[in-house]
Formats: sequence, structure tokens, C-alpha cells
Amino acid sequence: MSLSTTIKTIQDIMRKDAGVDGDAQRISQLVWMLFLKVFDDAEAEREVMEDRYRSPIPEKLRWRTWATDAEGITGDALLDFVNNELFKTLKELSVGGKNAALAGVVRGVFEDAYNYMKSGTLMRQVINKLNEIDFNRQSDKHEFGDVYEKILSDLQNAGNAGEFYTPRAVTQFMVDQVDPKLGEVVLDPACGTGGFLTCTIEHIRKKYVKDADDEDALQKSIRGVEKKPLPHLLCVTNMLFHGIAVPSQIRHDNTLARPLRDYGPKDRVDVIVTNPPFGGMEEDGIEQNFPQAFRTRETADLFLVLLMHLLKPEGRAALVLPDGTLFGEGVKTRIKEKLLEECNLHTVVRLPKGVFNPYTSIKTNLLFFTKGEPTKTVWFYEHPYPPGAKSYSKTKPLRIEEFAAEKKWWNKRKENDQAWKVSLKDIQDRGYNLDIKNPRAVDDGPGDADTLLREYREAAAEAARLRDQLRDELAKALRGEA
Amino acid sequence: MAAKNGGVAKGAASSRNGGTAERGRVGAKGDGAVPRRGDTEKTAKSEVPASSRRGSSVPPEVEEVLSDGGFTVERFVECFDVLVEAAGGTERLRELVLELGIGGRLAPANSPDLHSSGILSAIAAAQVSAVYAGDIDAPPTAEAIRGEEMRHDLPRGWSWARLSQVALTIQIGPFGSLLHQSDYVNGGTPLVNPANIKPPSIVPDGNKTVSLATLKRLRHYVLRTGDIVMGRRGEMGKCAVVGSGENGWLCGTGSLYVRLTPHMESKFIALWLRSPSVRLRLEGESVGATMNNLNLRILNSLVIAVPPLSAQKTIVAHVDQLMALIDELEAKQTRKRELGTRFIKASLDALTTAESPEEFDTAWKRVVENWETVLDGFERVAELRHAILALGLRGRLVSSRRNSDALAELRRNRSGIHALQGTHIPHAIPSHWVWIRLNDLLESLTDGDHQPPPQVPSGIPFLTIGNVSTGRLDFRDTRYVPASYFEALDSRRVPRSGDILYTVVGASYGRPVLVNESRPFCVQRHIAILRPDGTCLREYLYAFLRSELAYSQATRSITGTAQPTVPLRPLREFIVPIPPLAEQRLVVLKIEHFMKHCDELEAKLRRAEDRASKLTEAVVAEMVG
Repeated sequence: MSLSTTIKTIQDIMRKDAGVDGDAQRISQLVWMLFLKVFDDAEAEREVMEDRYRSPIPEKLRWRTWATDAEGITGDALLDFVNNELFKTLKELSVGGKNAALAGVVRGVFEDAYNYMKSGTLMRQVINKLNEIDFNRQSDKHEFGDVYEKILSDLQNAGNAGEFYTPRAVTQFMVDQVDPKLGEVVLDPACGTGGFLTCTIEHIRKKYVKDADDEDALQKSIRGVEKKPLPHLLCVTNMLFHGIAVPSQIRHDNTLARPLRDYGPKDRVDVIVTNPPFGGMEEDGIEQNFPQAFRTRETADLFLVLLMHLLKPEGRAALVLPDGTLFGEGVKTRIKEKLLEECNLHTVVRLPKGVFNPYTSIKTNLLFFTKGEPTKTVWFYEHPYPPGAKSYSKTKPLRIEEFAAEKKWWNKRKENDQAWKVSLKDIQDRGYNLDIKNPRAVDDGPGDADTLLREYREAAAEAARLRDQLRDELAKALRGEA
Repeated sequence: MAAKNGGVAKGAASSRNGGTAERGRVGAKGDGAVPRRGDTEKTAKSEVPASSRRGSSVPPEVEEVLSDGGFTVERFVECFDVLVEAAGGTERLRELVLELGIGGRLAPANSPDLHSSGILSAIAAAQVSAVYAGDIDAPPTAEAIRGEEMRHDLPRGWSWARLSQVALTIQIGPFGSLLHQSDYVNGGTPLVNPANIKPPSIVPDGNKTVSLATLKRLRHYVLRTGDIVMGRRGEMGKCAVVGSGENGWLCGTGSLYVRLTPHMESKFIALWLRSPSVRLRLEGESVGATMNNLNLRILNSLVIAVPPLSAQKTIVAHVDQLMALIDELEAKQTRKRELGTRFIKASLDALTTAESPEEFDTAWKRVVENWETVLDGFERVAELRHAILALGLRGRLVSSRRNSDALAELRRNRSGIHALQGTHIPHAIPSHWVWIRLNDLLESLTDGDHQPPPQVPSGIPFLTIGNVSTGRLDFRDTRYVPASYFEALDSRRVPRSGDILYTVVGASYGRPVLVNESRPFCVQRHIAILRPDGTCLREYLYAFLRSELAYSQATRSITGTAQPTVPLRPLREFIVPIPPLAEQRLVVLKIEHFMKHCDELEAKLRRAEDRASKLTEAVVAEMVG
């Protein structure tokens, strides 16, 4: 049975449980169980590698002890164990000693989690289903990302708008171009379920990691912050799953909630890759954390300000922004002015509509910049739909291969049908409106009426000729003269 | 933009009258004469070209066909132009060609090399040896063909047979239980599922490939060159011939294949399966609640008219040639329509933006001379409506009365009105008109309550975007709010007769509705409520809000990331060209007059297109028999 089918079966079992109400609770229930299992699988691997590894979880609470035996405790006994032992202990897990960081991760997960299920028997069924998944098998590992997306889209339906799953092709392209190196601290301040971070991990592993010390350095350099508990939990699980042994650097917090001036040099990072929530509004008072000139309730704009602040000099960033920020005025203008003064906004990749389908159909842009030098020229690249396509969809998403043209162009930039450059002066003259159209766009209005009329008549005559030819052929056939 | 007023039934000119009144204005060249309808009508008739292929009138021969259903080759030839231009017309032609092909009407009537009954016995012999060799299961015994199953007269040399007698074997793809998710490997042999069949080719999916071991296990389902592979679920008749490049691929669970002997031409069977009459039979026979599903019994028992081999080849070649011709024609038609659309835009643009009388004259002449092209299809009436509104708001539909001054008149009613000049102004207007801000004409501008309203099963109607975006207030399917909620609303947030509603959020932003409604109702916050203060005719304001001039201002002021939103502040700042009150009345009258004609024209064009597509259906039905 495939992984996504398994997950679906699990959700179906949960639906029978009187205690679990609605998608949000179902997902939340699934996520802590998934965490414990993934955590256990990861521990099993570490135990093979490290002789002296000791789990931060008490032996009787470990997944392998109580869950893996399909005939193990069930019914009321199981329910009692989960509610009164497992949750109680893990929520208050002491975070001291050698394993402090890892214990902190476990405790952090359970502080936000609840057991909604009220039937121990159904819970046993769920556990047994979960145990059918072998996360050490490559094919299952591969599919895990899909399951995440499924869970995430369920989350959307459960009514949590504002966060969009970033298509894998987009995250990978952004990470590839920013090219985070070994030892560089990489941050996603709105990390969601960790798409950018896992992409970064894979990128660095593939390109730079050569030995165990390198791997150690990588493990220390990944940071993420997520505001909502459920995506945070998924992110932590995702990190474990991608071999980050102690995902303690994924914090459950709102990056914007801290006054900007409180972020000091030690908070600065080398690389930021992110897709900040947009369209969403922050709660009252959040904008007070920002200097007067940049106060706005549009989350994406606040994140842009934060990014500039959090980068080290010469730090690099790539982020997704909606068209609205590019052409917006007022506070948005001031933010863009600051961006162009303090950073070199070298590239804007303009994506067509539908990349984020089905979450939102608005047009988005990928901004790439480096801190510490002012912008002189901005290169724009208009990403076209693949030939024949009119939009993207869930079944026909943007594919990484489509970025091959951008990658080829990246280091040898020339103006072409897709790419054009705009000088700082021009941008200033436009009042920092970055919504700059492709000057070579094919559709430049209807054109000259007289020329069109001539072309129209030619086409009409041609069509008439073909029509008559076809008519005669068919008439012949119908009359039996073929 | 075409979508904005498209489909809104609201008035406009028939080709004749729309044209002539304009014509009068041009003839007058600003001398002040408002054209009278009667005398211009005569000139118009002679100027406007008579009939259009896709035009407003239904040719009599089409009506004849539709009324008595009798269909002859002569009539087919007469109606052909209409048929080809109708929506879906070329697709119907393709079906017709297939049908003619499999019925033997595209093959030479004489000189059969061999009667096809010889083919059938050769195939039966091949089946027997294949069964003995263990290659195939024994085919089912074919039932005798009943009289009603012989659907047409047979051409000489042809014979009737069941598909089981024509094919070496027909095999349905492996059951789902034989093929697991784990059988898929990278870089293996492709699987052919219905999604991979894109007639006439097969397009593999890189992710759905299997290993050699799987292939060996499922060897009965391996495709060979010349097999016809067809989807057995969903869309019926979707099939392709397996080429040498696809030899050895695996038939997927949702597909089936027909294997032939060298006595039959694969491509002939493929077009037979694709033909509308066979598809119809498959659809009628297929089983399954959510998705049609074919089984072997259905396939095997299908009745086919079998031509001699040489005739099969001729038919395939002839069908290919005709299909290519249809493709070419379709491409040309598309190009023609595109150019036509661009031409009407460009020519109406030139008309509305003309600055000098000479320019206007040229532009007008071009529109009239190409009336047929301009109104090729009802969608284009929307463009005409925009042009009428634009002309009205530029003062081109009425003669100027320079004895009154719009600004002075406005200032008598309301103090502090500021006339706009200089760079803000989008286009020229008569000198006694004035540009002002929308806000200067309003008593209030609000939108619906921002709190989500309580809902009750019945009460006061609560209109959402969907209830107003058609251009009228639509009280069907509304939500309701309790009277207590309604009464607590600020009176400015409660629309009343005389207000204009304007959609400000969502894809259908920028659509106005005039409120002429005495029953109480309230609106969603996505709808703005404009309450004119009476200094300006509200119908005039309504005409302005429908125009491209207003819509482009709305588009420029859009904010909002997830959904386009026109904030109220920029809406207040919209700039409006205002004539003196008396002239506003005339402009509104003119616009309403032309819009009424546009309505009629649109209805006529719609009817013409509807008749045309009915005709195509009738033709094919007749041909298929």
C-alpha cells in the first residue's frame, strides 16, 4: 500500500473516533504520532552509529516499547497510558544534562500537542497502520514529501489561510541559485513545514559535505522559525527525517513579534531563503516592532524589512513576493527604496499566475539580493509557461526542468525575449515601482487597424479557399464519386 | 476587459442604426445637428454590406434543413459555409470524415482485389494456430449477426463480422492486483494507460515504467507493433496504433489492445474505433457507475463492416488527407478570428481616441466599411458597447450647447468643487465640460458592513458579489440576515433606490448596478455603495462607471494580494468628465438607445450561432444515420 493511501486509511479510522473533530484535530493527532515514530526510527539509526547514545525519552515511553507490537496494549489501557503517562511525562520532560537539546525538541513538540482520540482500540488501529510505513525504505522516504503536501492541503481546507506550500521546483531553484555553502548559517524565518530548509540540507550535502565533520557543521547551520504550532511540528519531524539529529534550531515563534532593534549581530545569518506568508495581516501591535517609516500590516512587507536586517554584510537572500509588493506605494515604496540602497537586488524572476495553485492564483516574483552594496541595475527574467500550457495546476505543476533556461542565463546574462535589465535611475523615476513589464512582450496591443485588416482579409481568403476545397472533396464522396 | 460588460444584457445598436447615427454626427462635423433617426436609416442600408457568414442572419437553407430534417448532398454543399464556421463545426467534420470512411464512401466503388470474406477465413485459421501455440486464449464463438445490426448497405466486396472474428485477439490490460506501486522502477519499460494515449500517438510517462522481470511476469499484456491500444475507461474510442518505437511496452490496467493478423490494416481499425457511431455504441454498452468501463464481451461482439485489404489502405490514406485539410482550415480560421478580434479593438480604439474631425472621419469610415468583419460573432458586441460609452463620455454622441457651462452649474449646487486640469486628464472633452473627482458628486461612499453578518434562513436579503456582478440586482439565491442586524446598520451602508452599487473586490471588480428597488436589502463588504448627491444625473454616473475610462482607473488602483481590491479612497478620487445637466440627459438617452440596439444585435448573433451549431449536429446525425 502506498504511503498516501496509508495516511488516508489512518484519517478514515480517526473519523470514527468521537473525540477527533474536524480536519485540524485529525492532522494534529496524526502529526504527534508521526513524530514519535520518525523520532524512534532516527534513534534506531543513531544507536547503530553511536555506542553511547541514550534516548531523552524514558524507555517505557519510546515508540518501540509500546507501539510497535501490533498485538500490544490497546483499548482503555492504551488510552490511559497515552493520556496519563506519555503526554504527562513528555510535556514536562526535564531538559538538562547531555541530551538537553534533544529533550527540548521532544518537549517542545508535546507542549503543543494534544491527544484527541477517545477510543484506545481505534488508536491501536492507527498505530498499526503507521507501523506499516518503513521510513528507512527509499521509496517511502521519497513519498514523504507528497504526504506533507497532502497534510498541508488538508490544513488549508481546515481554514488556515495565508500559508502556501511552495512548489518543490521553486524552492530548489531558489536554493540552487543562492547556493548556500558549508558552514554558512541558513535561515528561513517563516519556515512552514521546512521545504526550503530540507532543500538546503540536500543541496549542501550533495555539493559540499565530504566527511563526518562537514556533516556536523551542516547540522549546526540550519535555522527555522514557524509561528503556527502544526506546521512547526511537521517541520521538526521533517528535519529529523532529513537526518538533522537534533532539530532544536527550529523554533516555534513569530519572527515578527520581536522588536527589530532587539535582533543583534549574533542573530545575523549568511543566507536567507523564504516564502513569507502574504496577503495575511498580522495581529495588532506587531508593526510597532518596526521603525515608524516601515510600519505596515502586510506580512510580506514586514518580512522584507526583517530580512534586510537579519542578513550579515554580504549575506544573500532569496524570497518569494507577490506582485502587490512590487508595485505598491506608500510604505512599500520606502521599503523598496531601503532595499535598493542597502542591498544589491540583482535579479527578479517574474513567475506567471498559477504557480501556487490551488492555494492562490496570484502572480508572484522571486527576489534575489545581496546585502552591503547598493543596487545599480536590476535584471528581470520573465518565466514563461511551458509550450502549450496556459496555467499550472495540481496535476501539472511547475517543474524544475523549466528553470534550466534561467540557470543557463544566470552567469552569462544577456538581454533576450525573457530577460531585460533596468537601471536604478529608471526605477527611481518610476517611484520605485518594480512591477516592470517585459519590454519585448509579444502582446503589445492590437496594433495598427489597417495592417490588421489586410492580414485579416488574407487569412479569410485562405480559409475560404480551404473551405471550398474541403467542401468539394466531401461532396464528391457523398455523391459516391470518390 | 471584454468580460466586464460581456453578457450584460443592456442595450445597443443594431448594425444599421448604430452606424447611421454616428454617421450623422460625422457628416455634421460638429455643427451641432443631432442626427435624426429616420433620414439616416436610408443611407445606412446602402452602406452596410448585406450578409455575413457568421453574421446576424440565419441563411434560409439552414432553416430548411432544421425544419424538415431532409438532407441532401446539395443542401450539405449549400450549408457548408455555415457549418464550417459554427462552434465545433470542424470537429463535426472530422467525425463526418471518419463515418464516411468506415462506411465505404471514401473508397473506390469497384475493383476489389479480393472479397473480404476470404480475409475472415484466413483470420480464423490464424486464430486456431495461435490458440494451439498457446499464444492466445480461444476467442469466443461469434453470434450470428442479426438484421438490425447491419446498419448500412455494404459496398461491393465488403462483409459483416464481429470484432472477435476480425482480430487475432483482444486483451484487456492486467488487473490492478497484478501491478503494484512497488513494480514501478526508474528507467524501465513504459506502461500505456489511457492518459498516455494521445491519438494518434502514445506519450509515455517517465514515472510509470516497469522492470524486465515484471514485463516477463505480465508477458500476455505486452504490446507489439501494429496492435491498437485503447482506453477502456472514461472517454471511449481513444486509441492509437502501436508503432515500432513502442513495441514491447506494457498495456496498462486501464487500457486494452486489439491484435490483428496481416490481413487487416491497423490504422483502419483505429479509425473505425474512433468513429462517432462506434464510440456511441461503446458508450451505450460500457458499464460502471462513476466511469464507463469496457469489458471483453462488449468489444468482441461489436459488428464491423470489413472492407478488402486494399480498400482499407485507400480509406486510411483518404481520411488522413481530409483530416490534414481540416487541420489546416481550422488553423486558418483561428488566425482569422484572432486577427478579426484585434482589428475590431484597433479600429474602435482609433474611433474613440480620434482627436481631429479628419481622424474621426477616417476611423469611422473604416468601421462602417468593415461592419461585417467587426461584428463577426456576438462576443464582439461587447467591444461595440465600450466604444459607444467611450464616445458618449467624450461628447461625441451629442451636439454641444456652448451656452451652458458644466463647472458653473455644478458650483451652483455644491461649493468647493475643483476642476481638474493638466496631466491628470485622460483625454480631451468639449470646452464647456469639466473633469472633476467622483467624490464631488456623491453624498456618501461606503461599502457593506465589515463584520461577518449573522445568517438566518429567512429575513432581509444580503447580496454578495454574485448577486450583482451580472449588472442587475439578482435576489435569487441570496443569503439572509436578521432584521435586528439590518436595523442596526448605519443608514449609509443600506442601499436604497437611486444608489449605485459598484463591485470592488474579486475578479469581477468594477461592475456597477443601478438600484431601483424598494424592498430592504443590504450588501457584502465587497460592494461599494455610491450615493449621488443629485448634482449629476445618476444614470450618467452609471454610464461612466460602466465605461473603460472608469474600469481602467479601477484597475490602476488595485491593491490586495490574494484578491484584487479597489479601495474606497482611490474610488473617491476617480476622475469623471461632466457635461452640463441638460447634455448629460442627452448623452444618457443616446447611450441607452444604442445599447438597446446592441442587445438586439447580440441576441440575433447568438441565435445565428445557435442555429449554426444545431445544423452541424443535424448534419452529422444524418450522415451517421
